[in-house]
Formats: sequence, C-alpha cells, structure tokens
Amino acid sequence: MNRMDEWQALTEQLEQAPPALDGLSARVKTRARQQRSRKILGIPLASLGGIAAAFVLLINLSLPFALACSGNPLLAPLARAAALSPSLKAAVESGYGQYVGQTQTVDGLTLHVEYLVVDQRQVNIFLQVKQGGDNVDCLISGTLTGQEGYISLSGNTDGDEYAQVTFDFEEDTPDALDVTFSVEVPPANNSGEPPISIDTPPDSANQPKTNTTDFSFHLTFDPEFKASAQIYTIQQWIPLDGQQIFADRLEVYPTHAQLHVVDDADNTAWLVGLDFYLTDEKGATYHGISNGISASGGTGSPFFTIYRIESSFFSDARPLTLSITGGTWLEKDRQYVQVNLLTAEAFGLPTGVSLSRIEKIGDYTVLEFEETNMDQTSQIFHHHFLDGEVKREFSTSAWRILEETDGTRSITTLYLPHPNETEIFLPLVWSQLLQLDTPIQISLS
Amino acid sequence: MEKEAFLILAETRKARLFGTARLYLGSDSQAVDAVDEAVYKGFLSCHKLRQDAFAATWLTRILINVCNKELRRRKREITLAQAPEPSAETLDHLPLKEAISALSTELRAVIALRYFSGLTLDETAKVLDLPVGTVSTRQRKALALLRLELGEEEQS
Repeated sequence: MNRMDEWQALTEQLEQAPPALDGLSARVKTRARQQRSRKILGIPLASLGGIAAAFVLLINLSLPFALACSGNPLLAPLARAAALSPSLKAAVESGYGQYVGQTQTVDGLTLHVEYLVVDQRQVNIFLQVKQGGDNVDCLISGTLTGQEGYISLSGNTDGDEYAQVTFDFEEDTPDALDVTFSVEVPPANNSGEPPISIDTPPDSANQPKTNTTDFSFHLTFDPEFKASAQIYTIQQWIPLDGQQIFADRLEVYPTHAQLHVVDDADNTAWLVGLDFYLTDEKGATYHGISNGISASGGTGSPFFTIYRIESSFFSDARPLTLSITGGTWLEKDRQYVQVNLLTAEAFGLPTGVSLSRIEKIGDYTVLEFEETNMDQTSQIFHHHFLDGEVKREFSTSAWRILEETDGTRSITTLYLPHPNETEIFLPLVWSQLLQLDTPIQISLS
Repeated sequence: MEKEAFLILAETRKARLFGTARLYLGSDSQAVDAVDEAVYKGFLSCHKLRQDAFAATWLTRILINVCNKELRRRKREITLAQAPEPSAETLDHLPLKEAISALSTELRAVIALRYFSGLTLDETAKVLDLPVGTVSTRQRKALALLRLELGEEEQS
C-alpha cells in the first residue's frame, strides 16, 4: 500500500465518529446542568436573618435515610442526576445519597426536594420543579435561615430532570437546615439573554422579566454522613513564576477535596486562580470541581485561600500526587486599568487584552476590549468602576458587561453611564496568566 | 448562537472533530474525551458568539486548545527524550497514522486542521493564531516529511 492509499484509508477511517460519541448532545446538556465553577472573590460568607414565605406544606414523606444505591430503587434517579460529577457519583455509589421526598406547591408551581448528598463541608440538594405535572425550566437559588459561614450556588434545570443547589460551609455542616428556595421561571418565548448589540445599550426595557416563587423547607441530615476528612499535610513553599505560595494541606471529603494555601506577603502579585489536579496510585486523575464553588478567600485581599477539586475519598489508591500546572495572578501594582476617554488610551491591560473601541451611544460610554487568549474564560473586569481622581464607585446596577466571541477572540463590551471625569479606572480580576511547561509535582501520603 | 443550534452543529461535525483530536492525541479514547470537553465548553459559551458563521472555526479552536492542554498535562509522562523533528526517511518506515503522530505538535496541528477538519489556510491560521504564511510553510514541510502530495481537493 503506498502513501496515498494509506492516506485514503486513514481519511475514511477518521471520517467515522466512534460509537463512544453517540449521545454527545445529551451528555453535554446534562453536564452543563451541573456546571458549578463560579469563583467567589472577596465576598464574606453570608449570614441571613429570617425569611418569611407563604407556602402550603403538602407532603413530608419521611426523614432522610441512607441505603446503598444499587439496592434501593428510590436512589436510582439520584445516581443518574449525580452521574456527571465524579465525586458525587462515587459518593452515591458508596451509599452517601439520602432520600428526602418533601414537596410543596405555591401558585401552581410544585417544588420537590428529592435527594441530598452531604458531607462535613458541603450539602448538595437535588430538586425537581413541575407545573401541571411537567418539568419546568427554571433557575433555583437557595438561602439559609439562622446560618452563617456558607456560600450557596444556584442550579437550573435547563430541560433536565433535576436541578442541583449546593451549599459550601466554612465550618462543619449543621445537622439540619432551614432553606428557602427561590425559583425563577423565565417568561414564555424567552430564549435566554436579551439580544444586545453594541448599538443598543442595555436598559430596563431590555431586561427579561422573570417570575420568582419562594419555598421554605426544613431539612435534616443523617449524621452518619459526616465522616472525617482525609487530611494530607503538605507544609511546603511552592515557587511559581517568581512568586511563592505555601501549600498547607489537602483535605479530602466525600464530595470534594480542598487545597489550603497561604499567601507570601512579599509576593508582588496575589494568586487568584490555580490550575492543578490529583493523581492516585492507580493513575486515576481528579480535576476541577463540578459541584460547589471552585475557590474561596477572605476579605481584605484578592488571594484565594482554598481551592476545590474532585475527591479521591472513595479511592483506595494512595498515595496521591498533587500536580500544579499553572495559575492566574493579579499584580499588586496593576490592579486597575486606567482609561482616558478623550484619547481612547488604556494603561495597565493584561497581556493579550486590548482596547478596540470607545464610543458614546445614547446615555452610555461604550468600551470594547478584545482578548486573544481563548483559553481564558474568566471575566477580566470586576462589576464596578471608579470615576476619575475622586474615584467614586459605580456598581453593576449602573452598567452592563457583554461578553462575546467572533471565533478567534473574546470581546468584552462595557456600557458605562457617562462618567463625569475624562479618566476612569476599571478594577481587574486578573492581570497575568501562568502556564507551566512542566507541572510542579508533590507527593502526598 | 442558540444552544440547540450549536449542538446540531457539534453533532454534524463530531466525526471531523474526532479525526482532528485523534491525530493530535494519538489515542481514540483521549480523542473522544477531547471532543466531549470541547463541545461542552462551546455549549457553555455559544451564546457569546457574535455570528453563527464563526461557530465551526470557533469550535475547532476550542478543540485544539483542549488537545494542547492534554498534551501539556501528559508531557511529564513522556519517558523518551524530546527528539528533534524526525526525518522523512525515518517516517517512511512507519504506518501513516504513526508517522503523523511522530511529527512535532506544530506540524501535526496543520495536517489535522487542513486535511481532517476541512479548514482553509485562512481558517487554520485563525485557529492557530498564526500568519497564513507560517501555516503554508508548515503544511509544505509536513507533507514533504510524510511523502504526501495533497492539494485542496484532497481535503476530507
């Protein structure tokens, strides 16, 4: 067979999609439903006062109880709902799922709290929303009454069976929670984000009107599912691109693992993102978390102190290897981008980001930034800006960010209510990206 | 771009995406994972696409980034020393699929995109963020090493 014959054969072979790619769309949609990779920057863990909500309690089937998933048909749907989160999948298969079976109906909308996956630091709640017996596409957020030190992540159904709401706790998960779920149902014929172009700045008329309904539940947890974490002591300084961070320890819980790091005050930049993964003795790898927040930090500094990834809790293969592949930095002397609105110049932009357009449209000054690094999906700017020397702060309620791509670059468009000054300051989320050619590896035992 | 329209596009192109990833990564299972990951990433961001006409190129670029990330992650597992570009004589003794795998990442990328993803020179240059001239040079070099004489009509 000559080379052209080989070429023909290879072309024909690779033109066929393998059976493993069957169901691609369904997998993507289910995984997207469970996508939870939002970072919380400098927001103190919240506490709430009491929230009053009118509701009708219909059914409280039973206290939560745990049974091995394979033997209990009640937990079979949980296995499907948790399937695309490796940590939750392993937890459910190891008997960590709890059936709740609580239901309420308000104004024709029914919320079913079906399952929980709980450990010492995280509560994952799987819910269904129905109207007239049919599943409803909606966004569900959760808040807690009488509880401090937590961060919650909303979930949406997006046409799938279950939505997932996650609570991450700073300290031990309590034995019971009073939860209010706010269900936002978009109006009919709403295809998602309002059509916004650079020539039609956002205003209240463009904002989609959603209907929000609140439901309150009291959830109790089986204390059997708060097993102690596996703790790996690291206690090691890690040099990263001229800076260094102190890796203190890895805490492995059933639902996720937490890498605890400490800043070096002498660093010239704060670490605001860390790319890393774990490998166990059998070669299995554990990557970015798919349930709950991916990082958290305290107030007073943009530095994130805890990074979360998938859990190796149920793996018998130890020791573990921690591999760090890159990071994202915010340089201390480059926290703001200074934009001169008269000369259309911007100073202090991150590498790969450029100011491509300044224009006045209606009541807004519109700034357009381009970014060629398509790998970077985090936002560039915070949702506020500072106006001139006085540095008055304008919050997101006064402006809008539009993020787009044309296939080769990302475009961020800022709509600012006309600033009084000729210079504005845009606070950066990050200023520098680091990608290591050779990962830094640390053995954990 | 609407999410459903994006998924339809992804389904119609998944064979080409797989072919590209397979040449890049040298493994069927890793190519499947890469396509899954790229389509997932595209699904999350497709609403940001200004014009639907860019979708195919954009998705291919996401796939290349996913493949590059995987290659960087695997780099530590390569036990052989990083060899210089193999000679045509060396590649002559290998089956074509292995010969393509033996090329450097830069040359392999051009072959995968030009002849398996069906991209033009301009589109390939945009995906790889390179000048068109560089892409053309690498294409000629790769084809010479593989002893292949392919024109536009040979694109899959």
